[in-house]
Amino acid sequence: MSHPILSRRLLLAGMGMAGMSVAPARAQSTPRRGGTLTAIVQPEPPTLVSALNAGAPTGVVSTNIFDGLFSYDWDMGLKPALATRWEVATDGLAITFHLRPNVRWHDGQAFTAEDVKFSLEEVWRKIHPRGRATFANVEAVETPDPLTVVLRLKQPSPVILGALNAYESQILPKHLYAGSDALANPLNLKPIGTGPFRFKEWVRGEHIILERNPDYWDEGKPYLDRIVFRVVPDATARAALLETGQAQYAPYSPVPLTDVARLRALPGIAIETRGYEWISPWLFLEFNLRKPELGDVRVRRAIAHAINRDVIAKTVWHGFGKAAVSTIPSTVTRFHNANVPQYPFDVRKAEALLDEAGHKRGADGMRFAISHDFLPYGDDYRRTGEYVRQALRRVGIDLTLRSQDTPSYLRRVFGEYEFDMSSSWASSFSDPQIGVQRFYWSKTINKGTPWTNASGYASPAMDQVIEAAQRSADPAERTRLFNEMQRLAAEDLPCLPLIELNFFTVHSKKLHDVAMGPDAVYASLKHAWLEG
Amino acid sequence: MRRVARLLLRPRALVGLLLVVGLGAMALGAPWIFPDDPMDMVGSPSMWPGQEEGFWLGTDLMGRDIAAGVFHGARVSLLVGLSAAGIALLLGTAVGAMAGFWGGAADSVLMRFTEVFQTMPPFLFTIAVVAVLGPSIGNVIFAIGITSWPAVARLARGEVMAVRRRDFVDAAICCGTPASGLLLRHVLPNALSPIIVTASVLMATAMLTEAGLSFLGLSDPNLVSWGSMIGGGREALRTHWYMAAIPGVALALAVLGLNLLGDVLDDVMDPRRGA
Amino acid sequence: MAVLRQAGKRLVQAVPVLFGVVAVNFLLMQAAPGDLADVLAGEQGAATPEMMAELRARFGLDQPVWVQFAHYLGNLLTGDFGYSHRLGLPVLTLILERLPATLLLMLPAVFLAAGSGMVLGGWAARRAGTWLDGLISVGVLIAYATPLFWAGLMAIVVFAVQLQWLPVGGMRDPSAAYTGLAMAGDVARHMVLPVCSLALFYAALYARLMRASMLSALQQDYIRTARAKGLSPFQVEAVHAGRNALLPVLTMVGLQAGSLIGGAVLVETVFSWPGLGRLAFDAILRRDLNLLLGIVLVSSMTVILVNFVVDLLYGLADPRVRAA
Repeated sequence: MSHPILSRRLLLAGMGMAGMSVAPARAQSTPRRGGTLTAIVQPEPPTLVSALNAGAPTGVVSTNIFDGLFSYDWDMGLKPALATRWEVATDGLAITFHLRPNVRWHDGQAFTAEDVKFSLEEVWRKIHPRGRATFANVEAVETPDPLTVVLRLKQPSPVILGALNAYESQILPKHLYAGSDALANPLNLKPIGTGPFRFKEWVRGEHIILERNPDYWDEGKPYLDRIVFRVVPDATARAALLETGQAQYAPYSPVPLTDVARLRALPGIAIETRGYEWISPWLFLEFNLRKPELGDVRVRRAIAHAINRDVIAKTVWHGFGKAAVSTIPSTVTRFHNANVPQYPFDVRKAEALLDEAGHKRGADGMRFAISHDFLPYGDDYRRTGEYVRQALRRVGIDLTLRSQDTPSYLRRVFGEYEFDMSSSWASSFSDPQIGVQRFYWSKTINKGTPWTNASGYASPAMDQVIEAAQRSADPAERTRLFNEMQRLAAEDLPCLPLIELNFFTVHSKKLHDVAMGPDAVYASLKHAWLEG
Repeated sequence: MRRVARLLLRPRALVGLLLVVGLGAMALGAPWIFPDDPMDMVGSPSMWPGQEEGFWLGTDLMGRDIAAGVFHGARVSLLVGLSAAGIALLLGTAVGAMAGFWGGAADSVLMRFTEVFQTMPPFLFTIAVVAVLGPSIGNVIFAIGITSWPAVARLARGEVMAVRRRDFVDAAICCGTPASGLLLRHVLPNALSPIIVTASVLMATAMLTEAGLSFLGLSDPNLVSWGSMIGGGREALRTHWYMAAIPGVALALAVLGLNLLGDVLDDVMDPRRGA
Repeated sequence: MAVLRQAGKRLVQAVPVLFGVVAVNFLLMQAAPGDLADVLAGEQGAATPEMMAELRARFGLDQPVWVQFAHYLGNLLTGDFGYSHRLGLPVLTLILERLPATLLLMLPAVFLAAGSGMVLGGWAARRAGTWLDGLISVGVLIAYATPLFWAGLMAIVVFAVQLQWLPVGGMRDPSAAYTGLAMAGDVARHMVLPVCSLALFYAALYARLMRASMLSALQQDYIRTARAKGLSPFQVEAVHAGRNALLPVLTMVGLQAGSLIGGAVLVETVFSWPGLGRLAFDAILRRDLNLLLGIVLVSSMTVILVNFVVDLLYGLADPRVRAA
């Protein structure tokens, strides 16, 4: 019955990530209204407002309740949501948003330009971890009428246009948040938004229930009556729930990678890898350049030659990853540069570089000892570390793995710089200025701040390129600058990109129209519908 | 002696002894039988037992030899069991014996101290200690040891109190034996037998706890233990169940052996039992 | 009167113990690398130095340790368990939300385990040395030696996936709005697997203990007297010996009260059970100090309470204890 869909999926799988630039074909049958969708969110979100907590589980639930000004199409172009159109001034120093009329908050109040102004000035710029940087150049927010917002900028900031969806720049109701301590507002646990679903109940440790918003501005949507997000901490139990049909939707790689092949073979289950292009996650090693051995670029290059990135992608990640060739992933098509220095797997070359750097093998066959703090996000990251350990021991680097819980890891790597080599994954987002530059810019060496430049890499050439890209309003010029940035990154190698991660969503084949855009995982399920 | 021999020759006792001796042999023999690092990826991943030559127990998700893991894991699991039980015994016996021997205010203070550790949820406390110190093998051992001594302390206190009331202790006090010597030379040895019996159960529990910690991702990434093998294999539970089952069976047999051994020791040390 | 005096004494003794519990856990979490601000920044995948400073100031983490401790104790004395900054709710609310689920899991498990353990252990002791004894003993040991989470996962595969008799996990079906009896039935169906998995382990423990203590009770003089009086074997073994053999088992139940709340982390994880154990586990890994301290405190108070009740029961079961 769902054969056309199946073949489309196979086709896309065959094309690999090329699928992202192809608009998906229209679904074969017409959407059906009604039904309750049981979804899985993991782990349980601490709060339900993405503007106040940018964590992934919060994003998955929250973007069904709230809207952004726009969402993204497959080419990372803006698709109207709360705003219907936008204009950028020719000098790049003003951005105007025209808002959608007759939109109401779930409590019946009208949505206006004041809500946008408030969200930007009081929430995104003061509380959001990335919003602070993204909107840093906004000098003033003007609201000439209730449906127009004008951002006055100190310098051109094209980065803003890449951060306007419901997850990254979520619009909060001013009438409920103004004057309060936003982070402590009780509404964060029972939010009121403009989105396609309304908050119904949250039984902590069990489930969150959302109900269809009948007054949603997108006529006829959403199709589902209800979404129940269940909290299921164990991966095997999640697989069992999906397999038995007790849950029909689970984003963010919810089941063990080893189990995917088995699930994929089941008649009622689909594995969807699209919908993560806007976050474009990559996995990389970060070297601590303060350490004598790792401060030597020859050692870093040797390590790059010693690691077979294909093994990591194929064996450790079961194909849910692609060997990285540059620091900006290939899924960020506008900025990706494959034409940078490469370090193919070559043990002999690695050994030669290490010899050249003056690290001869000792009596025990080892050259020097370092430790590796892998990202404590589960077995896949641990196994990546185990592979790296074996690969480096082979060329005479005595690597000890250090395991710890997340706060210990963050404190050790970013708080104290007491590490040799760490592994991290990060979202690139559609603009490198949001996702990638923080690991290479010397001004982001902020001791004590997670997910910043921990390697201590400071290069005037790199800084110059990064800062020029921040100031430039010309898209072609920015692409050229970020290409140069990738070349420098590959040459100096403070971070070694390992793989581009392919996260996936598991869903029932009865659930249609799940991945409708590159940010689908952080977009609402308003297009999704269940077969009867 | 005849009584001991008869007790040891019962099938239960024989099975227990055999299992424990086997465990010891595996642990000691591992470096000779499998000289390479068991963490090395040596074969194709996810091979069923017997599917590929040279890997009679198959390979895990990373292509590591499960047989090598089981043998080397015996070393680590045994190390965890022995050391954690050792810490618990030392600490528990020391605190319990002092409390029971001195009595009075010292007893009161020491028992309140014991209760502090006893009233905390033990597994949670173990998790907290491992999370704080980091999951290296030494820290795991320390965490399990530090959370399992209160039971020993209570037992030791009771036994010491009972022994202390006996006539020969009074006689020793009359002879002017100093308190510490009295405790070490006369009271403790007489109170020790039930404590030793507890040791085997403590070891078994420590090995199980280590497996539980591994399941939650809190194990030493540089070493193979049965716990970490089960923890790692759980992801493949639906497709390659043997990855968790093989070390699981090994662990269950070891725990079984240690408990049977405990029963045997109990019988041997209790002179009333002879049948 | 004696009971009241005993209770009063216990209460006085409990104060330093509870203080010790709070102090040990507070210091432990202070020694832990990383704090709640690190956790929040980690979860969000991005941070700035200003954000870190603001978060620390908001949570009071920029204060000296002793000030934080004094502040916590002061609040505690007024019955205030503090606030979980990560979850945005008072700790007491969070604990009370989870308490029913925990009790619903632990109480049936303990009763089932104690009941079946005593019956099996007692039975094995009465037939000591026979094949039945051997069968029970080995079965019990295997149950004891099987890692709990593994048994739980296997139970899910067999009963929830293959046979589809029971749900995979959770405490109820969230998509069906049951009320009254239907709701009770739904919860009961969800309880079967987690309760049985948990009971399996404890049943094994109690059975071993029961067998040992029953064996030694059967050797006592008064049993011989009872037999000589011509009482039926059942009366002698089950009533006279059994009652005395119960004491060590009761003690064990009391000792294990520590595991009652928060001890079922593994089972709660495997079966997505919304209990306190999982909440505490998350609190540890997320450095949610107030929440962890609150759960540990409630747990310790439960232990003290349960042990007091066990002491009372002890008196009922063994008149000699009452006299002493």
